[in-house]
Amino acid sequence: MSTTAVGDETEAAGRGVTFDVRTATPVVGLLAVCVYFAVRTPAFLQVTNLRNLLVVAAPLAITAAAMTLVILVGEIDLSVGSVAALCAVAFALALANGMPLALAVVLTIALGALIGAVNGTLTAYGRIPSFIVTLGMFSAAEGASFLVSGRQTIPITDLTFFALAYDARPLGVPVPGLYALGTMLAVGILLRYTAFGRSVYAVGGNPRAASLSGVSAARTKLKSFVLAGSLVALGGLAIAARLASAKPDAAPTLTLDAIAAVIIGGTSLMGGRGSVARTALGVALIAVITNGSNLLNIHADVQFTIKGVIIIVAVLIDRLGSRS
Amino acid sequence: MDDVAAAGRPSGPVRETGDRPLLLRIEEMSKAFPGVQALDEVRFDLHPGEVHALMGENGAGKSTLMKIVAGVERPDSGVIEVEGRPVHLHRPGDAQALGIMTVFQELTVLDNLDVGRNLLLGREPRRGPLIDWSRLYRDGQQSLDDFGVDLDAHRPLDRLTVGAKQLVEIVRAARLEPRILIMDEPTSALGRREEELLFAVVERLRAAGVGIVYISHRIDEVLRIADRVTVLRDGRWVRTTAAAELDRDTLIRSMVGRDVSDERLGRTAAEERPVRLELRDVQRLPRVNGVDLQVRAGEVLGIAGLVGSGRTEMGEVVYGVAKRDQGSVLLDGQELHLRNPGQALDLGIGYVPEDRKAYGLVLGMAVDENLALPSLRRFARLGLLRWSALRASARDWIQRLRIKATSSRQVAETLSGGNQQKVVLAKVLSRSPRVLVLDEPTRGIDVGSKREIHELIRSIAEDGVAVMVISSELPEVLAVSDRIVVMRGGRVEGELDPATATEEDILSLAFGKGQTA
Amino acid sequence: MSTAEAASSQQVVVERAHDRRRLADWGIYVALGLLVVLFALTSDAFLSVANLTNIGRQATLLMLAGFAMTFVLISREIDLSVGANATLVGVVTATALHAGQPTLLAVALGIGLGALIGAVNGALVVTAKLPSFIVTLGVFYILQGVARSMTGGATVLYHAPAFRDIFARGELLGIPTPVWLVVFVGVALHLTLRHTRFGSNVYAVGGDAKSSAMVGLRVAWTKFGVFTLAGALMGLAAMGPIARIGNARPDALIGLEFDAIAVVVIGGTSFSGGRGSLPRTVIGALIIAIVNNGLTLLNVPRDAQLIVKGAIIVVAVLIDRWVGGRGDRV
Repeated sequence: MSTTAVGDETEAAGRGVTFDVRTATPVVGLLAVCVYFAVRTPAFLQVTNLRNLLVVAAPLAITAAAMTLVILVGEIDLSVGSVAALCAVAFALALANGMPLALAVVLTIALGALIGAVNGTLTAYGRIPSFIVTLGMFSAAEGASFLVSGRQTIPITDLTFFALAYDARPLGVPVPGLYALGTMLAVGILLRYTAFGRSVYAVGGNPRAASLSGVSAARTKLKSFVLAGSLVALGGLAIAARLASAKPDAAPTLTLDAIAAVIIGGTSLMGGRGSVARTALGVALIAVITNGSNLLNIHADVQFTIKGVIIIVAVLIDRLGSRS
Repeated sequence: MDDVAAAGRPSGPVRETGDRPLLLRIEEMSKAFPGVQALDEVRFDLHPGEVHALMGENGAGKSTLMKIVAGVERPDSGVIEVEGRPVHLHRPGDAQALGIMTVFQELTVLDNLDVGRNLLLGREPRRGPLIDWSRLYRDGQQSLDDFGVDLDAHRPLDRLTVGAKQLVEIVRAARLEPRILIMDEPTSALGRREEELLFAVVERLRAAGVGIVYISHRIDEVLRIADRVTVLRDGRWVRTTAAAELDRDTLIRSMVGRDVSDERLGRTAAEERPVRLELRDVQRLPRVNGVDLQVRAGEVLGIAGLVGSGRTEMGEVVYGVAKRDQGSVLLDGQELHLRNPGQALDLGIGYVPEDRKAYGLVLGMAVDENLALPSLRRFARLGLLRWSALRASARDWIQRLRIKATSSRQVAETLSGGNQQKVVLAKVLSRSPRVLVLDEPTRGIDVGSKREIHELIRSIAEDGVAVMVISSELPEVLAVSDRIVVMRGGRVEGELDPATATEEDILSLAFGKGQTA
Repeated sequence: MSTAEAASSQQVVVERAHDRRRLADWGIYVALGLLVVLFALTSDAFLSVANLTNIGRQATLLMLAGFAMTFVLISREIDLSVGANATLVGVVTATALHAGQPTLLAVALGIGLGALIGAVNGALVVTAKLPSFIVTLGVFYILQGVARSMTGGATVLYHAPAFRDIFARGELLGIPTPVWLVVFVGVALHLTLRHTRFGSNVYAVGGDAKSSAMVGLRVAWTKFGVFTLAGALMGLAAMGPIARIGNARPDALIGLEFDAIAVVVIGGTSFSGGRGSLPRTVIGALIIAIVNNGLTLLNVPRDAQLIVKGAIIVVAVLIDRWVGGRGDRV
C-alpha cells in the first residue's frame, strides 16, 4: 500500500468527504446523468417524477446502507436481492394470515437478522469467503421464496401499513424517502460515533491488528451481517409497500444496484475505507440512471449491461484511488 | 546448468579501475517516494570476487538501492553500469538476464511446491512442450549437493523449517551462476549451522569471481565476512571503507552520526518481588514443547534463542492468540484459560507483536484511533464515542512516548518505523497491563529509536510491570534484561545473568549444552 | 528435548495435516459411493440405463465448466461470469446456425466469443489489478444484459442436424460424442496443467503470486491465459446443452457458475489457490450430477434443490478449511 493523501486522515475516521477522484466520480457522474436526462426528456425534472424517483430509490438506499456496512468490514453480500424478496413474501403471508401489523413487521426484521446471522456465522466463524456464502444464500433464499409463495404473487391489503409506509407525506415529502434518509443517517451515526462503528473500520482495515487489540474480528463481522440483514428486511418491506404485494422476483436488480451504488460512491472493496455519505451519492446516481432510462424507454436488459459496466468502472476508480 | 543466465551477457570494452574491472557501478543515484527522499546521489561499486556489505539504519536506503539493482524499482536519476556498460532495468527479468540475482529478506519460495520445483521455478527443463521431470529433480539435487545443502529435492516445502526454506532460496539464486548476487539480511532466519552453510556458499561464490552485495544489520557478521563496507545514512552515501579498517563503534557512529554505547540497563533484583506470570510445562505442538518460566513484577526477562526455538509461539500462548495443548499459564497464581486477546487485555496482559505493520496497527486509521482500539468501550458513553476524550488521551500518549507525529490525526501508515512501534506500545500501555510481552520490539528500527524504546521498556518495568522481551538481537537482550532465559527446541535451555553473560554464552545455550552445532 | 525431538514433534503436526488431507481425498470417493447407494435404494428409476445416460450428459457439462473453474481457482482467482458466458455463446451460436452458417464457423465463432470474454476478464483483473470476483460479477451482469437484449427474452431456434449430432446425439464406438469430447479435452488440459511450464506457473502463481513475480515468472500473462482458457472452455461447454435441446434460451445456463464452483470445491480444489487437480474435478462433477438427478427423481421441488446445493457448497468449503489448517488461531 502506498502512502495515503493528507485528506485521508479524515476519511479514515469517516468524518467528512474529502475531494479526490473517489469523491469526484460519483459527484461528477451524478451531475452528468442529471443533465443528460434533463436535456433528453422534460419529464425528468417534473416534481411528480422526482417524487417517484425518491420513492423508488428508498428500498435501494436502505439496502445499500446494509451493503455499505458489510463492505466496510471487508466482506460482501450477494444475497440482498433475494433475501429482501423473501422477507417481503414472508411479511405478506403473515399479514394474509391475520397477523397484526406490528408483529409482522418485527418478525420480518427478525427473519432478516436471522439470515444475516447465518451469513455472518459462516463467514466469520466458518471462515468461508463471504462471496461464496452469500452466493449460496442467494440461491437458497430464492428457492425458499419460490417454495413459500408457491410462485404466486401475494397481495397486501393492510391500509394502515400503506398509510405508514407509503402514502404519508410529512412536509410534502413521501414517507419512504424519509425512512431511507433516516436509515442512512442512523447507520452513519453508528459508524462515526459508536465503538462498534470504529470496530468496523478497524476490522475492515486490518482484521489481525484489530483482533490483537481486543476487537474481535469475527464478532464484528457477525454483528455487521446481522445488522445488514435487518436492514435488508426493511428494504423488503419498502418494496412490498411500493408494489402493494410480494413476489419472489420482486427485486431482480437490487443486489446489482446496491453493490454498484456502494462502490461507485467510493467505499473501497478492500474494507476499512468509505462511508454512508458516499453510498448516498452512489444511490442517487443509480436511481437517476434507472429512472431516466425508464423514461427514455431504455430496456431493463440494457440497464443491466450499463450497471455492470458501472461496477467495473467504479472498481477501476477505487483501485486508481488507492495508489497515490 | 542453466542456459538462460549465460545468454545476454554484454561483451565489449570494460571500464577498468586499478587492475580489476568493475562488475557494478552506480553513480549519483536518486529515488524519491512520496514524502521521502529514499536515495540522494548515492554511489556504489562492486568488484568481481568481492563481498561488499551495505549498512545503515532503517530508512537509510539500502533496500531501495538494491531493489533498483534487482529491477524491482526504477531510479529517478543516476547511472548503473554492469561490466562497464550502462544498463536500464525495467523489471526483475532484465536484471536476471544480466546475471544479477537477488535473495530477498522475505521468503519467496512457494510452499505448495517441493524443493526441486522451487529450485528450477520458471526454468523447468523441457522435452518438447512437456516438462522433463526426471531432469528437473536431477539438476535440482545436483545443485543442492554442490552447495553442501543436505535436502531432498522431492521434499514438499511446507515440511521444511524457515531456515531450510531460506537455504533453498539461496541455492536457487546461486545455482544460476550469477555475476552479482544481492543478499538482503540473509541470516535473519537461519540457525547457526545454517549460517555456516551460508558462509560456505558465499566463499564458494567469491572464489568463482561472483560479486556479492551483503545487506545486514549484524555488525559482527559483516566485519567477519566483508571485504568492503559502504554506509548509507538518510539516503546519502557516507563512506566506503575496507572492512579491515573498521571497528564496531566507528561503524555505528557512521550510521547514526553520534556515539551510541552498548550500555547495559538491566539490574538484578535485590528484593524479592512477587511472581506475576508463570508458565508450567506449557506446550503447543510442534513449536513449544514444555516451557517452565517465571516473570516477576518489575523485572525484564529477556527471551533469547535461535529462530524456530518457539519463542514467538510461546508469547502468543501467553496472550491467548494461540491455544495451548498442555500445561498452564498462571497470572498472579491464578490459572488462565484465555480464549481470545480481548480477555488477555482485560486481565492485564499486553502484547506487542513481531510485525507491527501486519499485526500491530491499522495502517489506514489515524494514530488516535489506533491508540484507542483496545479501549473503545471506555470512550463511549450511552453507546456514543466521546471524540474529544479520545483525542486528548492520544495527545497525552504522543507526548509521553515522544511520538513524532504531525497531530493525533496523522494516518498511521505515514509514520516511521520507530514511531509506529511507539504507537503500538502506547496502545498496549493504555490498558495498564501488569504483564507485558514484546516480540522483537526494535526490529527494523534505527539505532536512536531503538535506544529510546529500550529506555521505555526499563521505565515500564520500574513501574512494577512484569516484562518479557523476546528478541533475536543479542546486544538488545543483554542491554535491556534483568535476567535472560534461552530457549531451544521449544523449551528453556538455560538462564543467564546479563551483568556477566556474553553473546557467546547466549549462543552456546541456544545451540544446546555440550552438543556440537 | 533435543532438536531432533522438536523436529519430530513438528513433523507430527505436519503429518496430521497431511493425514487430514488424505482423509478428505478419500472422503469424496466414499461420498460418491454412498450417494449412488442412497439413490439406488430410494428410487427405482435411478439405475436405469436411460437415467444413467442422463446423468452422464449432465456430468459432461459440469465437467467442462468444472475444468474451466479449476484452472481459475488454482490460480487463486474466481470467475462468476462463466454461466452468463456460456449462455451468451449458446445464443450467439444458435443465431449463427439459424442464419445458415456452416457448423464449423458457428462453433469457432462461439468458442472465440467465449475466449474473448475470458480475455476481457483477464485483462481487467491483470492490468487494472482488480479483484476478480467483482470484475467477473460486473461482466456477469453485462453479459446477461446483452443476451437478453439480443433475443428480446425469446428462445432462439435453429435447425442444424450436423451440429446436433456432433455435440449431443452422435455416437462413436457406442459412446456418446459428448463423452469423447470431455475425455479428449480433459486429457489435453491435464497434460497442460501438470506437465507444462504454463501449468506449473498456474500452481506457482496461485500459491504465491508476489514471490512468483520476484522470481521472474510472468504472473500477468499466466492469469490472463487462465481466464482466456476458462472463457474458451465455457464457449465449448455451451455447445452441448443447445445441441441437446435444439434451441438457446437467454437464461439457460445462468447459475452454472454456482455449480462449477460446487464441482471444483467438492473435488478438493481450494479457494486459497495453489492446489487442485482435474481428475478430482471429474469426481466432483459426478457427485453434483448424481445429487441433481437423484433429488429430481425423488420429486424434490427444484426450489428446494437450490437450497440443498447451497448447503453442499458450504459443507465442502468447511471441509476444505478443516483440512487446510488450524482453526484455533485468531
